[in-house]
Amino acid sequence: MSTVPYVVRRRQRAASARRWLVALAFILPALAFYGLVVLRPLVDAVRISFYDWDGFGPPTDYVGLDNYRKAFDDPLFWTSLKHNLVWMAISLPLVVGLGLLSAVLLAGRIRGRTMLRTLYFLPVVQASAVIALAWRWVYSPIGPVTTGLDKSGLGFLTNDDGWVGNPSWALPSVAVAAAWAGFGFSMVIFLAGIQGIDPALYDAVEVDGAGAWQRFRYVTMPGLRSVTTTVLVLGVIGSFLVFDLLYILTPNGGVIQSTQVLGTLLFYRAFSHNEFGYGAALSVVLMVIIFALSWLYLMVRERRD
Amino acid sequence: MAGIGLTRITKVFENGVVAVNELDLEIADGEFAVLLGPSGCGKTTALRIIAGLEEPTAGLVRVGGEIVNHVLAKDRNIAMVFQNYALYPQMSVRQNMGFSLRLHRIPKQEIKERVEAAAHLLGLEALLDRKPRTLSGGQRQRVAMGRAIVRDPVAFLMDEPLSNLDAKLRIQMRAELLKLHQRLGTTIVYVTHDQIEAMTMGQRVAVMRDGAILQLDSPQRLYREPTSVYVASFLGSPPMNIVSAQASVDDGRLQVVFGEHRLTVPAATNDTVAARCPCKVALGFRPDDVERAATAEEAGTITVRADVVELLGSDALVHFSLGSGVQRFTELMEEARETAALEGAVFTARLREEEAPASGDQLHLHVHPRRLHFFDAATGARLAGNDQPLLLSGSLSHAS
Amino acid sequence: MSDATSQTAALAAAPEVPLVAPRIRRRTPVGSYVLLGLIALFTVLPLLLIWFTAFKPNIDTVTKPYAPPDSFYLHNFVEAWKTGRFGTYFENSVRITIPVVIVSVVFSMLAGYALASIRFRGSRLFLIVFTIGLMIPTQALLIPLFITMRDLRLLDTFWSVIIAEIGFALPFGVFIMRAFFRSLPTELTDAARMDGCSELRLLWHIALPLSLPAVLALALFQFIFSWNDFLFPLIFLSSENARTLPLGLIYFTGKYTTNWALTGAGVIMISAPVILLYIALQRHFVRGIVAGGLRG
Repeated sequence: MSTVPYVVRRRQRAASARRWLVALAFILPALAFYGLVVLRPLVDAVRISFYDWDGFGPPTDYVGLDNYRKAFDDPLFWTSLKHNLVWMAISLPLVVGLGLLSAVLLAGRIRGRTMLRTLYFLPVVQASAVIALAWRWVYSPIGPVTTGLDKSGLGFLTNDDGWVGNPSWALPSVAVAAAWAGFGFSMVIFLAGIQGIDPALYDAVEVDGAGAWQRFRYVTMPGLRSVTTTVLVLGVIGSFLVFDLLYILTPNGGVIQSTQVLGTLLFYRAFSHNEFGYGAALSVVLMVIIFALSWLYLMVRERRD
Repeated sequence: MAGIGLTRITKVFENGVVAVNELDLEIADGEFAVLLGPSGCGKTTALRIIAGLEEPTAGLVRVGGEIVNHVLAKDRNIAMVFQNYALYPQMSVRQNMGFSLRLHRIPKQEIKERVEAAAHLLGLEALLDRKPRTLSGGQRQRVAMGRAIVRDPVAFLMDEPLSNLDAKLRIQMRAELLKLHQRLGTTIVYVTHDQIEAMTMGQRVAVMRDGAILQLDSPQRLYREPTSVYVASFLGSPPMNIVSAQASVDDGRLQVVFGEHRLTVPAATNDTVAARCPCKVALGFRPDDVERAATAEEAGTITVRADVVELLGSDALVHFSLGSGVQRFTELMEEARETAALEGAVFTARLREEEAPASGDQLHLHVHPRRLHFFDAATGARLAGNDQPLLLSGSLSHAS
Repeated sequence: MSDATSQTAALAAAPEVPLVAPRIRRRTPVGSYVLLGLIALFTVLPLLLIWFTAFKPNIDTVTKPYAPPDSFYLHNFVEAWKTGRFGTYFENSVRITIPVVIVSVVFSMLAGYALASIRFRGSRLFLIVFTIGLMIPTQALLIPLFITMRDLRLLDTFWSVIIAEIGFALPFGVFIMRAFFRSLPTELTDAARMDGCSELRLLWHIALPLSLPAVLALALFQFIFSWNDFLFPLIFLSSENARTLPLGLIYFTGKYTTNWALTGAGVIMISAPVILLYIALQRHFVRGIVAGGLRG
């Protein structure tokens, strides 16, 4: 640096300063919205969580970590978390299983492959309102599925409360609806993963003497390992973010709180019970969980590479 | 008896592309046969048909004398080595090599022995428990070979196995492959686009183009007696110089004229051509078959101006043009257009380094009449024997 | 060998017999198609069933719920549009979604381009800041956002929803656009800069035309996100006139003991634009999703 004449250095700095300003100009619009809508509320959430606040006027009642202690002692909080995990246990295998199955099937020589792929992805682009209502109709005791099953003698498969009205079945029912809406997404990711597998491996395994199942086990599955991790992690994270379907199909946490999850709990606490401070604390807990999971995922990815 | 036979094999793909067109090929047991050609010529498709990875649209495939069209790839007792090695990434070298045997329910002890024997043969013992991604390209290549050897097949099918290796490694592996072939004596069908590989390794080479075999011969005969312009220009580096020329018989001698050059050749040497004269021909001579002459007076000598001289150690490549009237004969439209755009096509001669001229110098080049190739100007097919005995007195002092 | 050759020779000699020997299996097993069919049925049935109700008079939905509609009964749509006020909801959705898509895509492009192509101090930091946004769930910020909008006096206006949706659309958009611009060969931008091209010009004339498919995919994605959005309208919009389609539909079905025929009509009104756009642009869209999913 010392060998570069002063004038040149000054010009260089001016140039890079200009560049910096230009870059900033490009970023600023996005940053402004993002800051206002995401970053600032992020800080606010933490701040509000330290107050006991009913939402009227400015928060004044500072209580420190009490809201968090309240959560720890609140059985409903733990029930909600448990429900998130139950949701995961039901919808994740469905999403991954169906997604993988359809991807593997569609990867072969299938007539109408594009059309089928488009079809399977259709539920993914539906509004949550649509998904909820469609499945309410499916589950409805006076709806087509129930009446159809009744008529064909399979009435034992139906449920008088329309499934979502039944405390034991509500959560699984909505989870199934969510899985229906989500498997197309995992299918698309699996398909991309399959396309990344060296086709010569399939030739090699065929020459070596493998049948269809062995092809899958020794070439497809190992080749999909990283993609499967991605799908699993996205699925786990998603299990903690559920809200829309539950809010619509089983309002107020469902019959005897059978479908209360963390996302809905914080909503109801804040907007129905005016416990904004507590709701904020729950929001922070949710964020911490998601952050931890995302971070874990990134670590796993780094290590594998 | 593990020869391989293809009879009238045709393969038409679903999109209408004819990859292989009425191909006939007989490979003897223990032979090292090479399928040579540019990409798209059908050589890989033919190989895959032999392997059983593709079904022919028509024609018969025979392995060891038996028709195997209906036999699955895994039951044909052949092993394949792929261009990208296709090693199972999650398995160790040992597992990769033993995988096929496992699938065929060979007892564990025997698998162990066979894997270790093959590993020993290829120098892989130290790598047996490593995973493919920790290996170098050359090592992976050997594992791929090991995987094939372990199966003790009746034939090896290799699809451009060396093309992903760097030049030095490639030369080394070529020698190793040849040694392996000598040791094992198994039939090898080898696909490549690299003519040097074909020439150095094949006992017989099939030059393919557009799904058909143009010529099937030993490398020497392909080099010395190419049956078409295509084969002539495909083999040999730098490629054969081929020009459009006018041939006529004059005074018992054959005169071949191209541009301002005139080559005189004893007529008896090229009977077939003489019989058709006067006619247009494609005349070819290899850069290696050219010598520097002192004067222009000998028959079979042309005078040219050296454009660029490349010194390559003991050799020199002299690039010269033959004047604006001379067209490089080629069947390939794009090449013709390209060279027409440049001023005068460029030809090459390989001389000894001591004989090399300086750029811009005029020099006399002599081509031995026996080393001239004549092709039909319309079809590109070979016309003459320059394998006829010489019948000229005197002035040619080169024995060939 | 002689056996086979004479066999072959005999076959070859017979002119009418094509030289084809017995073949191997290789057809896709029937089982695959059956499975695919079952999955297709599973996928399409819930949608079909509710779409059917839209074309039946409401009594039919009770008396014969699973039968396909007798005819194209369009009265439901008319009634939903007028009496059900879906016309208003539709218009509201449009007035919110269009600005969201345009603004978020443009800003994503600008920021994504800058982060990808311009070397400046702190670009790494800004990237991290934006990436954090990918990991923040919308639900977690509902409460503070509500407060913010309330303090800005934007509650019950479209602006609150528009601004919120843009804000949450940006992390993904910036991520995608940056990833895409990074995949462009640097020689193009280097050559342009050496010629003295300003960054804005560069973006407009060079990077943009090349990135059209990615931009299209992103726009489609943001459209779907905004059009289908339920959460922000739920939180910010209270008056009935201001509701978007999804919100309006849910309130509607809550209010009347469900008139499934009108509900079906509402569902179709929400889904139709999305489905049509999706089918038209699906190739680009899927590619974009994969890029995001595989890297996120």
